Amino acid sequence: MTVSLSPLLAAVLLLVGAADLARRPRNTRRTLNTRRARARATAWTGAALAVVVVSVPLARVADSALADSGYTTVTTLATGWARWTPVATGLAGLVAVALAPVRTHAPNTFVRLLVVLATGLAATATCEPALIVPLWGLASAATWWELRSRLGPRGPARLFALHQMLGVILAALGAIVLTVCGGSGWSGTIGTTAIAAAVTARLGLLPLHLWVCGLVESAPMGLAVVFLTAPTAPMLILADGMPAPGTGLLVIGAVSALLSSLLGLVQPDARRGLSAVAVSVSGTIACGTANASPTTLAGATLAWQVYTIGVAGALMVLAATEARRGPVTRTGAGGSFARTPRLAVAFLLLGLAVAGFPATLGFASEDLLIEGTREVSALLMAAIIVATAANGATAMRWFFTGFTGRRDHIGEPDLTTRELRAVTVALTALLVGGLTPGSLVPNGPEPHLVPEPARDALHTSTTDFLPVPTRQGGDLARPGEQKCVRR
Amino acid sequence: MITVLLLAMVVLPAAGVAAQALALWFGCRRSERATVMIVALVFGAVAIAAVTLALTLLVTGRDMIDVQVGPWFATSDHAWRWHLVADRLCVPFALCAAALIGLIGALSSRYLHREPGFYRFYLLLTLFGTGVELVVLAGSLTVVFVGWELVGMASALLIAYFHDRQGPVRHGLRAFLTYRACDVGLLAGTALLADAAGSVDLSGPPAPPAPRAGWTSVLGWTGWAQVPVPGSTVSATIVALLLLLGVVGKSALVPVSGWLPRAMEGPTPSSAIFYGAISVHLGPYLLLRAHALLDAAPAARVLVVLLGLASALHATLVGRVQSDIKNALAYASMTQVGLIVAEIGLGLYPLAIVHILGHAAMRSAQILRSPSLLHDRHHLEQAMGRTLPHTGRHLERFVPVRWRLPLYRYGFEHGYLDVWLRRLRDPIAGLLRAIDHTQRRVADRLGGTRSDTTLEVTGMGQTAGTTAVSLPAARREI
Repeated sequence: MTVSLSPLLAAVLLLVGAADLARRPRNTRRTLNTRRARARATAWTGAALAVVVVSVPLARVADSALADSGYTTVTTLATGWARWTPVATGLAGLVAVALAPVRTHAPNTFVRLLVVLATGLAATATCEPALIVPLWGLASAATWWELRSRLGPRGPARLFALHQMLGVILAALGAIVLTVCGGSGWSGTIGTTAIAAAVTARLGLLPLHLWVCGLVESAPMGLAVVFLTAPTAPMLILADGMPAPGTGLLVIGAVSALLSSLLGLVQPDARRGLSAVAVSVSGTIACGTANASPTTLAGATLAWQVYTIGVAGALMVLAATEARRGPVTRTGAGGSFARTPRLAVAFLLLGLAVAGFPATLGFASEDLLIEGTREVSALLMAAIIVATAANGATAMRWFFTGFTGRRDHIGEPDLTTRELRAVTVALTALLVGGLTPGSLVPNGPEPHLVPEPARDALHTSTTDFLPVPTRQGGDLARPGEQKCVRR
Repeated sequence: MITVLLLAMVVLPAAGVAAQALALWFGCRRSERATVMIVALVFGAVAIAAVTLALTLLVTGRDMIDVQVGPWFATSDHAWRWHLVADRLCVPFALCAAALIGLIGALSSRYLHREPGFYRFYLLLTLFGTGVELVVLAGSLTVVFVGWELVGMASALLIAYFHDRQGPVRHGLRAFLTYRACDVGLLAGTALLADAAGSVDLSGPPAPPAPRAGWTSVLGWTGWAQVPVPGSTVSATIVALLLLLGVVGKSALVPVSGWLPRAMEGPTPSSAIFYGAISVHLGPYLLLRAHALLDAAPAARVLVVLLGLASALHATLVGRVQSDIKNALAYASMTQVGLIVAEIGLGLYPLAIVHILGHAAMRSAQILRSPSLLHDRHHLEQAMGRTLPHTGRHLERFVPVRWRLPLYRYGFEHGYLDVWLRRLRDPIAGLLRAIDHTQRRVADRLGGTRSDTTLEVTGMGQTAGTTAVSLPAARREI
């Protein structure tokens, strides 16, 4: 089992932060406490993000040093598909904490938020299902506890608990079956089906998608965001020894992407609209991972990173806007763009990035997914294209509905300094990443990391990765880098 | 050097966008003059580069200059490159676009002086210019798509320029939804073309046909780069029809033409450059790039002609009953674009090119003149002491009397197209709402709550569970 130190260290920092917030005495003035809790949570999240970001340029040197010292199963950052995922997760966490309105986030909420974020980062530290599944369970429990304490045991809390419990149990069952009985024969089929169903529940794909809308509508937005963007499902499906999920997840992903994107167009309020977009993008990501060609896997991983930052940013900007002037609904009065231009522009750009709009990082992921699925089925490709178009339309619709259309205002301020910094970092990642996506596109697992016996049974079973010499004068591989080819 | 020039025609506007966007985002104080100067410098440089490229093509006798940069991103079996071309088709368009955008930028400095959205207008104008230059100079359909989308977004945001009124916002959203729905065709067509032809990169001009005598040789001139053509007629027809869907949305052809007159809610300079000059002509430009594909798909070619003629006829009928000058000009623009599309379908490519360039220059000037024309007309009527006679009724006289009322009603109701589209949309939206409603009921059943709790729960989610907190926000709640 290979363990990445950097995300693990970041997760530990977040847990220390959670403990720090939890032990603080509760003062009499709740608002002041909440502000202080948010400030400290932002500091801890920023520190965790800094650890992950700093480790990116140092990874090559540090890994060589670790390998020279004999620590071959310890790396600084995950290699291959999961390389940039901790950065995206940490950034989403920073945005979630920094933009969390005090109206909806109690001090205890920040404690749970840091715990959920820590589980998400820890999940990127290893490709071992035996660790990913308990982390998922812990994150679900923390989120459910928050929902329950606010809304009681019924309603969204029960809906959430049912789905996550089912998912965790199926994931555990699948992992145990695959580990004990191997990936061949009936046991392999049972294990694969269980994992695919668990991933369906975690990503919120049809028919196990009902909890997403309930969570986004009723949970504190920061907590909903860190739970939605925790990379549990992609890490589980790309984990060591996992077989290809097969056509089932491909079809479920395509149907989810298409139907949710169309449902997003008729939602009565922005929270439901964005949650439909989130389900739709999850569907396209599931398509990419289930298809298991190098191009779709790269596209799905990149799409997940864009989704993490973009959905987190758009939902948190929406939450910040709602804290200023109430819910954003179809029949509402709209907003004054002149009063809150940065909020509006941030919402639009983050939403369009999730929908794969050109000049953002999302475009690269969209292109890779379409290119990869084209080789499988024209219908699948058409579903992703229509879903992409509808998601963009939904983002633009709620931009116009929520941020324009009225001249008067109630004195709502634009982004505060803290919010501006967090949103600027998120936008920079998506827009600058959109200018130079080449360095961010995952180039597949290192061939030497793939266990030899499992190579034929991996989710890349249709595409064996073989090291080939770098093409002289070619333009696809950097010098000294190994390329992957299909056999 | 040529490579640098070609790249500069795309990179300079993009840099202009970045500079203006950063200044706006960080709230940097700057003068209107500096903003106008940036736009003028950028598009002046692009125009100079276009002239230089044109001279280079003429002097060297080359058919096209091809530049590929990248890969921008790549996996083991796919690479995305910036592919630009300069040939005898695109250079005049690029020059025309840069010159018109520069001129509109200069004019708007007075027209929009001290407007609250002055800087936003120039940012979107530069973004539009970037998109147009990308579409025009694109060497592959994937690059066309990038520019196509940027143009669409800039267009929608400029229609909603007066964002404090409901009308422009609604119309901007309608334009964007139309673009987005039709862009599915462009994207799907691009992907299917990659599958069927193996590439979406433009190839060199086709071999010249056998020499013909007289004017027919001029009308048959097709010496520019073309999209690749799939081997089978079926594939070529499907791809051509999908690309045509993209053209229909961008150029406001029937039946989705309803957004164009509504788009005139934007500021007059942007209406002039978008819907009089450049944006509506990008569809015909794409068809010119794809004429070899139309040659391989006769059914699609017939449809192009029919759509063009239907759009022209529809627009000229509806335009004649408009009581607003900008609406009348929008329909006049739609008429000419329809005719241009029909010309392309009939294979009259040089005529279509001249028609596009001439129409772009004339229509943008007309739209820019329209606000002051109304003032002039009022002054003239006051001076003469009577209403000026209505002109331009020479065609109506040829219409039989019994047709006039139905045709008037057709024009007055915008050809009933909006009604038909609504009838098409409503059942789909109704079905989606029914699915959504069912989902909510199932969610409520699973959650063990009654069926009307959704709104209550939403409210609680936004008030930390404290229903006593009123929703209108205050500064301390952020």
